[in-house]
Amino acid sequence: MKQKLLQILYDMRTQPVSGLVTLIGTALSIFLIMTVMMMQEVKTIPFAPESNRGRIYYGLYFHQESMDGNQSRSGGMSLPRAQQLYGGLEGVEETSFFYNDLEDKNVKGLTDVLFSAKVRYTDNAFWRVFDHKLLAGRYYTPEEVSAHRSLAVVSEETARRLFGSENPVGQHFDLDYNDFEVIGVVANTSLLASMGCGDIFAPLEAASTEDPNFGGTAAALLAAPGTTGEDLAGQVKARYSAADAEMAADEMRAVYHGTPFGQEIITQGWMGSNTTPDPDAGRTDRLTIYIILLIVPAINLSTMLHSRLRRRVSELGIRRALGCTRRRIITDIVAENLIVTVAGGIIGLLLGVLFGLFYDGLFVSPAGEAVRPALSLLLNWRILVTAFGVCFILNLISASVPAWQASRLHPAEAVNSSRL
Amino acid sequence: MHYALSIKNYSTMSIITLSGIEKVYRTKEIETTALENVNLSIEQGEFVSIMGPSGCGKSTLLNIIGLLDRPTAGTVSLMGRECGGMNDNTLSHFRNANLGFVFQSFHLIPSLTVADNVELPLDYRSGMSGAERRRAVDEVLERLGISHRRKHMPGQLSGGQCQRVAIARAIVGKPSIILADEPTGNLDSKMGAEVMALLHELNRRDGITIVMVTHNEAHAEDTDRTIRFFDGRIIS
Repeated sequence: MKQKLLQILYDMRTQPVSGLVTLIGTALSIFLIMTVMMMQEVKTIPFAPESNRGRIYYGLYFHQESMDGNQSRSGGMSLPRAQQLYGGLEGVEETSFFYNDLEDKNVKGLTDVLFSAKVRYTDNAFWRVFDHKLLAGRYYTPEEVSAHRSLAVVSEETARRLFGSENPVGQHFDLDYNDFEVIGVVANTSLLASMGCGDIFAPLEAASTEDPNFGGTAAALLAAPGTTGEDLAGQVKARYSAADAEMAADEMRAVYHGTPFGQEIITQGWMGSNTTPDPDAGRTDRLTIYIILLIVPAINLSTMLHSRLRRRVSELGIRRALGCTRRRIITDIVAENLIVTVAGGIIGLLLGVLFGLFYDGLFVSPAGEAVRPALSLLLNWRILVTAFGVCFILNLISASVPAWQASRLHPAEAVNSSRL
Repeated sequence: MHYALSIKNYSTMSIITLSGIEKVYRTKEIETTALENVNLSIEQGEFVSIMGPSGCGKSTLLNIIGLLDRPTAGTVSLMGRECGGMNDNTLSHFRNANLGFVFQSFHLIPSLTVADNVELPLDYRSGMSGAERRRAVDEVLERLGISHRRKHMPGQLSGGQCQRVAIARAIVGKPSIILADEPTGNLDSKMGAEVMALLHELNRRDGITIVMVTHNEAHAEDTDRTIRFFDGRIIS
């Protein structure tokens, strides 16, 4: 290790331009790759209130078409339809029904300032599927939801804006010019938690005029440990068959698209209301982007390494003369390059984190709003492991060919090379 | 300075045997014969010098004896082992265990300290702990009188000191054979004499067989035997 570090420092001293370009090139490559990966990562990494992302499955839409195939309707579900398709499934700990869309509504409290807040209508199970942090008061009960009580749980920030206080439990405010009572305060949530976030939460209300099939309701299923998406999909498919039978009288049928979907499909935008997502194709596309992002800098870094090694031909010949095997030449060069790559990677990762923290528009909520994620979302053990893995792969791609070529040098010719 | 043969015994066992060695370099346009029907036997403990004009094939011969190059035809046997059938990995291990190299331009690795340069052959040898390696390096640096330079970089040393370090590196693994390619070629006469004295001491005291390419008649005269080369052939 000491010898490798000395070699790297010597290279940096004797070939400062090449060394610096390699380091900066690696840093920028890792920065680019990690920025793209972070943008993907925040879509699937668990964090409150979506700490159970790995086992939350969603049913968002319903699709029906006429028997002759000439008519088709799709969109969010009505509450009864959502309950019929997703309620009471086996292997599910909790099922929550809530309005899929965050609604921007005008609110005004004691501060007498009218502002727009994001309102989510939910049932009581919502608080068990999503792990919000209750700071004061309580959540609304199933009975209060059924009774359509005008109660609200508000975020800390909203409480401050409405009342100038962080604990306004029992106070009233106007929500779209209707009177609501605050019964609880929860910690602020990021818009990146697209399904669980909100400024104000109020009991879900099934509109009496709602279409029997369509509305704005979504279902979130918290699967029990060990229950897979396929287990749930099998049950939901059977429910679709039942719905199919109900609609036969109207010469309509329900079209099943593989629901419920896990976090990846929901957040990657691979689904529509009337299409069956193809996760494999999506993953292939994503992998292709990653490979391109890796290959292009790897080729450049490989050229740089090749150039640096050309200056070490005689040294490599000496090493071979002293008994260094070809394999050892390869592993030494790859290890030296890995150290440089990791050093560049650390710089690149820090750049990526700073960019993510301070550049608006890098992270966008599903509604298209710019979001600044918390540091813990950008710098955590998953990101660190991924960054090291990327460095390792980048190193292997960029170093393997030059290292192999170096190992194939003719020892006698290499020793007598003029460059040492 | 002369080193009497009479005080030295060398075995009559051949440690280096070359039979019918030919080396031909071929390109698309030209074919160059570097060595032609070279037959040579060197006894264990012998100090042999090889002389000849530039380009006559001396260094090529040394490379072939040192297993850094393969002959186009003929066989090379070192220490009783025929080396032609050895794969690259085996050749590397064989070189590491049995051969030491000393070059005209020292060929120290500039990024490493004196001690690290000397330790290098042991680093490529399996089965030695770090402590054992360091002990061996300390011993050889002490013996060659350069232990005070152990933390210096090659660029901080004189030519004579560099060659001492190169010799230390060549002997740290206790090889049976040292191959020296014009070891005094880049040194002034005083330094050259010191290096020659060192090589003779290693030959006499440690019984190391030494094959040395040189242009210096005086240095050659001090060796047990001088082989003269011309146009890829041994002429005497």
